[in-house]
This record gives sequence, C-alpha cells and structure tokens, in this order.
Amino acid sequence: MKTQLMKAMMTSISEVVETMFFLPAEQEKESTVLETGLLDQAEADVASAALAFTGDISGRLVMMVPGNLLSEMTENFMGESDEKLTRELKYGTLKELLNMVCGNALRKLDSGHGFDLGIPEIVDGEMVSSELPAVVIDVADAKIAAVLDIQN
Amino acid sequence: MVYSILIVDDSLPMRSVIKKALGAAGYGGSEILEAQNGQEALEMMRHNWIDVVLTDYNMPVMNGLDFILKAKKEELFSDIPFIVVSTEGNEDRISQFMESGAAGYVTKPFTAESIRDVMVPILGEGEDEDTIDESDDDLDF
Repeated sequence: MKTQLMKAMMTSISEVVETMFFLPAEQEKESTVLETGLLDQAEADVASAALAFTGDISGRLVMMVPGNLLSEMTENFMGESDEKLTRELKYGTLKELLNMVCGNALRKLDSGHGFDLGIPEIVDGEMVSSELPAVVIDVADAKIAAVLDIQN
Repeated sequence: MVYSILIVDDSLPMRSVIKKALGAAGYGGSEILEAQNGQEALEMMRHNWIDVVLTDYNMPVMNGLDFILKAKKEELFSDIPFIVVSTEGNEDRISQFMESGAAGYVTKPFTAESIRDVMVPILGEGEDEDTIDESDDDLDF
C-alpha cells in the first residue's frame, strides 16, 4: 500500500499544482529526503509543513517547497502580487497545498472506510529524517518534495 | 440578483480562492461574508442574512459537520443551503454530510466550473451570468 500511496502522492501533487496554482508540474522520481537536495538549500529558503493522517494506513506527510516557488504559488493562488503577501499567507498557502495533496492522494486509495486528516502545521524541515522516502515533482524550474513517514 | 454568501474556512488563502472562484462562476457581485470556523459562522448567521453557506470540513474549534448539524437544529437557519468544500471526499464522509442536511459537495482541488455546477441548482445563475462563456469547461479564476 505504501508504494500505491507514493504513486498517488505524485499524481496528486501534479493535479493540485496545475488546477489550483496554474503551474506546470512534471513528475520526476521517487527518492529520499537527502537525495531531493532540498536540505542543501539555505535553511530559511525551504518552507515545510506536516499533516498527520489515520486510516487503513497511518502516518504523516511533509511537504517541502523552496521559498521562491512558494511565493509564486501564493501569488497565483490568491491573485495578489508578492509585495502584498505576508509570510503568514505563504505558510497558509503551503498548508492548503499539503491538505489538498494529502486528501486527494488518500481518496485515490480509499477502500470506503475513509481517512481522517489532522490540521496542517509548519515544521522545521531539518527535523525531517533524511532517510525517509520522498516523491519529487518539478514545478516551474524548482522542486517540490512530499515526504512520507508511515506509522503502520 | 445579488446573493449573500458565507464562506467558512480556517485558511485565509483558501477563502480568497473560493471568493475568486465564485467571481469566475458568475457570483462576483454577491456580498461575501467570511468565518474561520463553525462557531464563528453561527454567530455571523445570527446577525446577517445568508443565502448560502460554503463550508470546509476540517477546521479547529468547530468542524464543518458539527456546524451543519448545529445550524440545522435552529429554526432560523433550517432553510439555508450548505455546500461543503473539502478535501474529505470518500463516500462515507459525503453520505454523512448529505444526511446532516448539506445541499451539495465540492472536492478540493476544485475549478470555478465545479463551484458553479453546485451553486446554480441551489441559487440559480449568478448576476454576472452574461460574462460566463458557456463553452469554457475550465473557467479561470
């Protein structure tokens, strides 16, 4: 089921980014957090958010998005120019991205019993284990990573 | 006709996107009210005329399901249609919403077209209907 979830995450990121953020997304590969290269970027330049889910499979999804791309995504999402966007709005956008990706992916796996989603929260990306599996998507010449931390 | 629409979602960016989608769906001339959770929305409904409510499910303080159930128990709100706009899209959850009295359901991610598809049977066309290109299946917002 973990493999199916990874594939569902990859498809969901593309669907959400294209539908809600009007940006082209190209599926790249499955990887690990370390191999994404996002940990190498300046720590302030990558925003991360986490969302817990429970159901037939339970765990946590973490999304990592470079700051420049998050600004562009927030501009597209809210229809406002970057000067008007506070860090809170950008973090709010990241949490919505995570919420939609996670919900969309879990729906693709749904056996009918459903999944319960928690409330997304901003986390320190450096605290995410570098060995965890991740899917990487190319979006507007940058990379987004979705990191899966499965509990069962 | 100008409608009064209440958007209930704890995310400010998402409320902003729903507003844009309503505009693209032909409801741009409506009065839009916003609340961050079910409890705040109930309070707002007591003081404002509301034609339709668009609510998220997963919110702190009071989630969308509890909000609809509480609202439907109050005679004052019993005729107000509720549309759920949520990432929660499995059949069990949708059944729960519809049994609680929701009039429609839109799954995130959504398009302006999917918002319009659920709004029109409930409210009728928006006042900006002349600006909508019916041949466009994927309305930009």
